[in-house]
Amino acid sequence: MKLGQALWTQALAIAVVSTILALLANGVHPRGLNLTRNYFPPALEHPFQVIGIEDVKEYAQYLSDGPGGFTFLDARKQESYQAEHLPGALLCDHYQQDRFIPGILSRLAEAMIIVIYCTGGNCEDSIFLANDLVYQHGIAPEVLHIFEGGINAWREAGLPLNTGAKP
Amino acid sequence: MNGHLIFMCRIFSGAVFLWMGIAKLGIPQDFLKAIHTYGIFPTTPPWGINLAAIAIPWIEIVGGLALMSGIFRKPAGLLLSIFLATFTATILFRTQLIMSAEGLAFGEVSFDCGCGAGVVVIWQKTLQNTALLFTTALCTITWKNSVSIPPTAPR
Repeated sequence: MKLGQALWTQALAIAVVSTILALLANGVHPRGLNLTRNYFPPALEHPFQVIGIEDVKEYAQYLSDGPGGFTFLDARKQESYQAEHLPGALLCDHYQQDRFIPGILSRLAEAMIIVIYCTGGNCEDSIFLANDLVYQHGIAPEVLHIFEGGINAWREAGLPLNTGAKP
Repeated sequence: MNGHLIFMCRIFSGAVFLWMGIAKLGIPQDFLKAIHTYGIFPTTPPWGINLAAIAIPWIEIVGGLALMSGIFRKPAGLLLSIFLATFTATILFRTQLIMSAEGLAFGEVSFDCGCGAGVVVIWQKTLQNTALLFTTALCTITWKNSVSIPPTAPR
């Protein structure tokens, strides 16, 4: 075997061995990725209503503790949620839905309005989560509202934020 | 080529790749999101981009260890050089898009490149990657297969 060919073969072997190690590690990682799950649902002409800070402020007055009524859903990761979140918002990390959906699905199914938010700006996790709620969990699209400005807009408006694991 | 120079290059570049790989392991979703923003991996079927997000940090870790130990130094250097060149090109491509969209100068652009260090200033990142590419390429193209300690200087 020529020297150059051997070099490429060895490089490929390193890549393959690394990938095998990676798949094993991913299998035991508490936040391991699901290889076959599409975390980025295709950009559909989504039917979700997009709302701004004034609407969210109004909805915040009607948040309910139990099923039915208004519900805020935080699509960001757990660390971000614990650092700050909208008062009363439930955590549902889009990338870790399997962990969070079972505990809140009945509440979501009975909600009149669900406001989903993430960071704001270029963040699309709220839309991805809304897609999955409709197409994988049977939530009616008309109850889902995307808070376009996200937590950044809420913070910039000087509104109160909660910290920690509880809503 | 000076054996000490190669030794320092592979220790330096190996340590950088090891650190960058470990930094990406904590929350795989963050790295997945980062590489999704580049748009270089199709999301359907999803296993391609998911596998990339799972495997790339480990390729950096194993490659970094190989460089540092001197075992399979040259193929590891080749692999990491290809990775680095590809990533630097995609970072620059995204930078170009941001410059066009937001009317920014090259020196003003910063974003989370998914490199494991959060939001970075792109001109600085480009310089770092160029220096790193030089060291990994040096580990690959030098014929001498130095081991994990610097070779003894000829008397």
